[in-house]
Amino acid sequence: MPSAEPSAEASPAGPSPSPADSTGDCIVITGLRKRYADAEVLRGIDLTVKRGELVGLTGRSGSGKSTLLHIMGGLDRGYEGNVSLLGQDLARLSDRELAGLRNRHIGFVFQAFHLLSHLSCLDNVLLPNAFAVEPLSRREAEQRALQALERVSLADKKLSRPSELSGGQKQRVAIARALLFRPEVLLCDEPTGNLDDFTGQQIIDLFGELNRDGLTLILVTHEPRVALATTRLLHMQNGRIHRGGNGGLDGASPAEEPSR
Amino acid sequence: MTLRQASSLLLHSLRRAPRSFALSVFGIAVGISVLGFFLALSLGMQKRVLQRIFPTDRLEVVPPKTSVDESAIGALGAMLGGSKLLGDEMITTLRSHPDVQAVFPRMKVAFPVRGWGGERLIGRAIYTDLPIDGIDPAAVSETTTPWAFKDYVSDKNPFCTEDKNCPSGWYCSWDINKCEPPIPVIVSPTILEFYNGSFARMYGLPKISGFLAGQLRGMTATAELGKSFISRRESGKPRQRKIVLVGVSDRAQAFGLTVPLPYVKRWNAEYAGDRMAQEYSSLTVQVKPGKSITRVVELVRKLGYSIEDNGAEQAGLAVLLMTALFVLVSLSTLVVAALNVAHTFFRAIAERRHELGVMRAVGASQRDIMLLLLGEAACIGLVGGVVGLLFSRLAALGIDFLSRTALPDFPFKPSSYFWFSPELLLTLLLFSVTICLLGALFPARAAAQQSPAEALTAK
Repeated sequence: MPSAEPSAEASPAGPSPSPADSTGDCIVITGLRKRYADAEVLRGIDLTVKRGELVGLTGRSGSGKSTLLHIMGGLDRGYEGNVSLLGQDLARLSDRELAGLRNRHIGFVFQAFHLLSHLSCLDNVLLPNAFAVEPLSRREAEQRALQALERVSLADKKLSRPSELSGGQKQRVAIARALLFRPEVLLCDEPTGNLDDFTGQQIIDLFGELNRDGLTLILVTHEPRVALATTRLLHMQNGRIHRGGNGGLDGASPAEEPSR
Repeated sequence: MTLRQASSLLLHSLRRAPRSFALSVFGIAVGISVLGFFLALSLGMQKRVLQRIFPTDRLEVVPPKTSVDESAIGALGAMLGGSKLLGDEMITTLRSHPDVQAVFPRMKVAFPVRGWGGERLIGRAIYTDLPIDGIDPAAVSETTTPWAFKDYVSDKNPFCTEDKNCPSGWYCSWDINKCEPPIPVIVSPTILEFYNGSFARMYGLPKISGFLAGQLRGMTATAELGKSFISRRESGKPRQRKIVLVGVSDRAQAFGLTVPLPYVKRWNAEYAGDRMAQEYSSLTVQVKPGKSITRVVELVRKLGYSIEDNGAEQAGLAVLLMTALFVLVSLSTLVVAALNVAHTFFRAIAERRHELGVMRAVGASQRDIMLLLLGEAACIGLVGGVVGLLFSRLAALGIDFLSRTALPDFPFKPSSYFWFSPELLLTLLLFSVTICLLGALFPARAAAQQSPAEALTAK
C-alpha cells in the first residue's frame, strides 16, 4: 500500500525533505521561466501544490504543461525562478542528489509507458532499486515490487514481458514501478493518452485510490474525464497558468490561481 | 549503484541486443587476434630461436679489430713487443667488474690438425681437417660421459709401450710412452642443428635424435696434430691422438671441436711458439643474472678490445622492425575496431534514448549511466579480447602444425614459433578493454549528460 507520508525506510537515499515541507506544501514554484532556443515555453509560473492534492494540468499542445511537469520532477533544469519540491530547492541539488530525490520521493508515469522491453514486469518494477543509493535487499525489493504489482492487479503478470501486455496493463506496470519506493508525489504525463476509454477509466480510478491513500498526484492531461477526477484543475496557455479552479472531485467552479 | 546491481543491469542490457554485441565483439576480436598473433610470434622468435642462436647474457671479447693502416702499425707494435694481448691480465680485469659472473678464456689451435672417424654415425669414416679450440673446463656445466671434460695429462700418467699396459679405456701414446685417456671433446648444439637440419637431409643420413641421451657419446676418432688434408704446411712433429665425444654444450665453438684449454695451450706452445700459448683468441664473459651487458661492453671498448659481432644485434633489430610493422598494422585494425565500438555505442545510445531517460527518471545519476555504458564497453572488450586471443592461439597452433608436418627440417627449427606468455595475454586483455572503453567514452558521456526530459520526449 503506497503511502504519501515520508517513512523512515524511504528516507536514506536522496536529500531528505526539509523542515519547510512540514507546512504541508508539496511543491512550491515561484517566477518559473523556461526557454528553449528562441522560444520561451514557460513565462512566469507561480504554483503551490499541497500534500494530498490531485492536481490536473490541462492545456493545448505546446502550452508548456509537460515542461512544467518535467521541471517539477527534476527531469529538466536550466530555468529561471524557484522550484521547491518537498522543501528542496531543485536548482541547488547536485545531479546525484536530484537523482536520489527522483529515486525515493517522486514517481513518474508517462503516456508512452516507457517500460524496458527486455525486462520482465517484475524487473521493470524493480528498476528504481538498481539506482538506489542504499538499495533494498533483493528479497525485500521483490516483496515490495510484488506488492506494487498487486496494487495494480498485475501480480500474475510479473514474469511477462511488456510486449505480452495490453496498453492498460503496461501503464499499470509503469504505475507499479513508480510506487516501488512509496513516493510522496506522482507526476503523470498524459497517463491515459494511449489507452481506450475503458482502460483509461481504470487508470483514473487507480489514481483516485492512490490519492485517497494520501499520495499527491499531478496529472498532465488533455482529457476532460481525467480533469473531472482531480481535486484542482489548472489550465495552461502560452506558458502561463491561465486559469485554475476546483477539479471534478471538489466541484467545477473555477477560482483564479495566481499567475503572471 | 552497487556492483551487483550494475552487473545485473549490464547483463540485461547486453542481452537486449545480442547481434550488436556480437558485431562489436567480433571487431575487437579480429584486432586483438592479429595483434596477439604477431606479438606472440615476435616473442617466440626471440625466445625460441634468436636466444638459442645468440645468447644475450654473454659476450665474446676479441682482440682489437684494426683497419689496414692500423694493422701495419699493430704489426710494427707487435714486433716491438707492444701489441694488445688478450691474456690473463684481461681476464683478471674483467672478473673484477661487478656485473660479471665469470670469464672463460678460449684459445684456437694455431696449427693444422686433421682427423678421421665417424663410422658409428654414418657407417664409414669421414676424413677432414679439424677446427679445434680449447676452453676452460670450468665453463662447461653440462654432464659429460663417458669422460669428464678435463685435462688428463700429467707427469703421473703411467709409462707404457703398448695399449695393454694402460688402464681400461686408456691407450698408449707411443711418441711419449705415456698412458692417456682419449682427449674429451664437446660440440655445440648449433653443429647438430645444422647436421640435422641440412646435412643429414641432403645426404640421406640418419638424424642425431636423442643425442643428449648418449646415443653418440663415447664415439671416438683420431686427430693428427700438425698435419692437414688441405694444406701441405706441416708444423712440428706430427703425432696422433685419440679423441672422444663426451657431450654437447653451447660453450663449444659453433662449427668445430672444443677440447679442454690445457691441451691447446701445450700444443700451441709446441707447434706454434710460446706467444700463441699465451694469447687467447677470445674471452667469453658471462654476465650476472638480471644485469645488462651494456656496462661490460663499455668497459671492454674502453680497454681497447672489441666485441665479436655475432649478428645478434642485426637479427634482433630485424625481428623488432618486423614486429613493429605488424603491430602497427594490428593497431590500425584495433583503431578501426574502437571506432566501430564508438559508432555502435552512438547508434545504440540513440536507439536507447528513452530507456536511458527512464533510468534517469527512476533515479539513475549521470555517473550511473556512464558506469552502465562503460561497463557494457568493458564487457565487449573483455569478451572480444578472450575470443581474439583464442583466435590467435588457434592460428598459432595451426601454423606450428603446418611447420611440423609440411616444412622440411632446418637448423634451429622450433617446435613452436609463438610464445603466449601470461604477461602478453594479460596485457592484450587489458588493452582490449581499454580500447573499448576509449571508444565508448564520448558516446557514454554524451548519453549521461543528456537531459532526462529530452531523452524521454525524443521522437
